[in-house]
Amino acid sequence: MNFKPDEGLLTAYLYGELGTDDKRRVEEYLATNPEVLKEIQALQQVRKGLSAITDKEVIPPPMVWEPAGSRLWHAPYFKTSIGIAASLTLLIMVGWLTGLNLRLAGGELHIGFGEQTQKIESLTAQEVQRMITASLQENNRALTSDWTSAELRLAESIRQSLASNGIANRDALVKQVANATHDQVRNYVAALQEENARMMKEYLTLSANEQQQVIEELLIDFSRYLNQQRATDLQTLQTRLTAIEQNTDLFKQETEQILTSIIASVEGGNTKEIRN
Amino acid sequence: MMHADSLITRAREGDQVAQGRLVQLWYKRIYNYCYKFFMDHDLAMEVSQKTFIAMCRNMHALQDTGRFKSWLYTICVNGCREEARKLKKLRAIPLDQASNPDDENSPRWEKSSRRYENPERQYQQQELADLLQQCLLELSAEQREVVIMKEYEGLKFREIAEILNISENTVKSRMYYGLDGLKRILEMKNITKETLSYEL
Repeated sequence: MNFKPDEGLLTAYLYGELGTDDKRRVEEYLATNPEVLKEIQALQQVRKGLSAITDKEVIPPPMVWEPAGSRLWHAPYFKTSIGIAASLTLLIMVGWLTGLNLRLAGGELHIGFGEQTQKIESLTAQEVQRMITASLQENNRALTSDWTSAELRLAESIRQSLASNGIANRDALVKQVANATHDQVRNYVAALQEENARMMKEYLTLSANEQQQVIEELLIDFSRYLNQQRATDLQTLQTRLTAIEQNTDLFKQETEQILTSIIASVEGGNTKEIRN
Repeated sequence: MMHADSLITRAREGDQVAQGRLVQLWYKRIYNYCYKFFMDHDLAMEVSQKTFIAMCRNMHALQDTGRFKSWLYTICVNGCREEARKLKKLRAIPLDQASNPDDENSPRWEKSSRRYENPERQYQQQELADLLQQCLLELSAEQREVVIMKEYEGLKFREIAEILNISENTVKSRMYYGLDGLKRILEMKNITKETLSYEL
C-alpha cells in the first residue's frame, strides 16, 4: 500500500486529533519509516519545550462605558449632520446680514447684494432699425440743404470773380509776352543752356572720380589676392618637393640596403664554395 | 470557558454588567495571546484593550452566540496584525529590547513572578521561556498565530480555521511548518533536547 501521510495528517496525529482508522494507518506508516518517526518525535520535543512559556498574570483594566445618552452625540453620522446644519445656518445668517439676493430666472443665476433694481426695458431690433433709419434720413436732409447752399455760394463767388478781374488779367499777360524782344528770348535760352552744360560737367566729373576710386580698390584687392595665391602655391609646391625628396632618399636607402644584402649573400656564397 | 450563553446574550443586548463580566473572563486569554505574539507587555495591553472595546461596540452584530470565542479571537488577531503593520512602518524597538536585559535597571526585572519559588530554578526557567519566546518571534506571523492558538490557547484546528478564515488543512500545514521552523531555530541556538529536558 502506497500510503504517505501529508503534513496535515501528521500534525493531526501529533495532536491526537485523528480518527481510529487514520491513526492506525499513520502509525503503520511510521513503523515502516523510522526517519519520519524521528521527525515526529523531534516535533513532539519542540512541543514539550514550548510548554516552558507560561501565561502571564494580568489584571484587566477597569472598563468605563459612556452614558447611553451621549452615544448619539459621538456617532459619526450625527456629527456630520450637525456640522452640515451649522454651516447652512451660518451661510443663511451671512446672506441675511449682507442682503444677498439669489435668483434663478430664465436659465440664469443672479447673485446680488442689497435691494433688487428694476429691470430696464430693452429696445427691440425693429425699434433700433427704425431709429437708425430716421436718424439717417434726418442727416441726409441736413447734408443736402448744406450742399445746395454751398453750391449756390460757390457759383455766386465764381461769377463775381470772373466779372471783376478774370478778363483784365488775361489781357495783361498776353500784352507782356507780345512786348518781349528777340534778344531777351535768346538770352534766356542761352542762360538755360549754360546752366545745363555746367550741371552735366559737374555730374560727369564726380562720376569719373568715383569710378576711378572703385577701380583702384578693385585692382588693389586683386593684387593682394594674386600675391596670397602665389604664396600658397609656392608653399604647396615646396611641401610636395620636400615629400618627393624624402621619398627619393628613402628609396635610395632601401636600394642601398637591398644591394648590400645582395652583395653580402653573393659574397657568402662564394666563401662557401671556396671552403668546399 | 466559564460563561454561559446567557451572559453573551445579555451582553449582546447591551447589558454593560454582562459585557464587563465577559471582559473579566476573557482578558487574561486575549492578553496572553497578544503577549506571545509581540513579547511586549505594553503592546499586548493596548491590543487587548482595543479588542474588548471593539467587542463591546460590535456585540450587537454577533449573530450566533456559539461563535463568540472564534469571533473574539478574530478581533484580537486582526488587532495584532494591524499593530504589527504599524510597527513595521515605525521600525520601533521596544524599550526592554533596546536596553540590556541583564542590566539592573532593565524593565524585565519588574516582570519577575513567583518569587516564592527557588530563585535559581526560577531564573533558569524564565531564561528558557524567554529564549523560546524569542524563537517564537522568529517565526512568520502566520505560523506564529497558529502555533500560539494551538499550543497556548488550546483551540481546535477547526476553530483556528474559522478564526483565520482559512481551510483546516492549511492550519495543520502551517502548524507543521511552524513546529519544524521552531525546531530549526532551536538547533541554530544550540538548544538541544537534553537542554530542554534538563530545564523542564
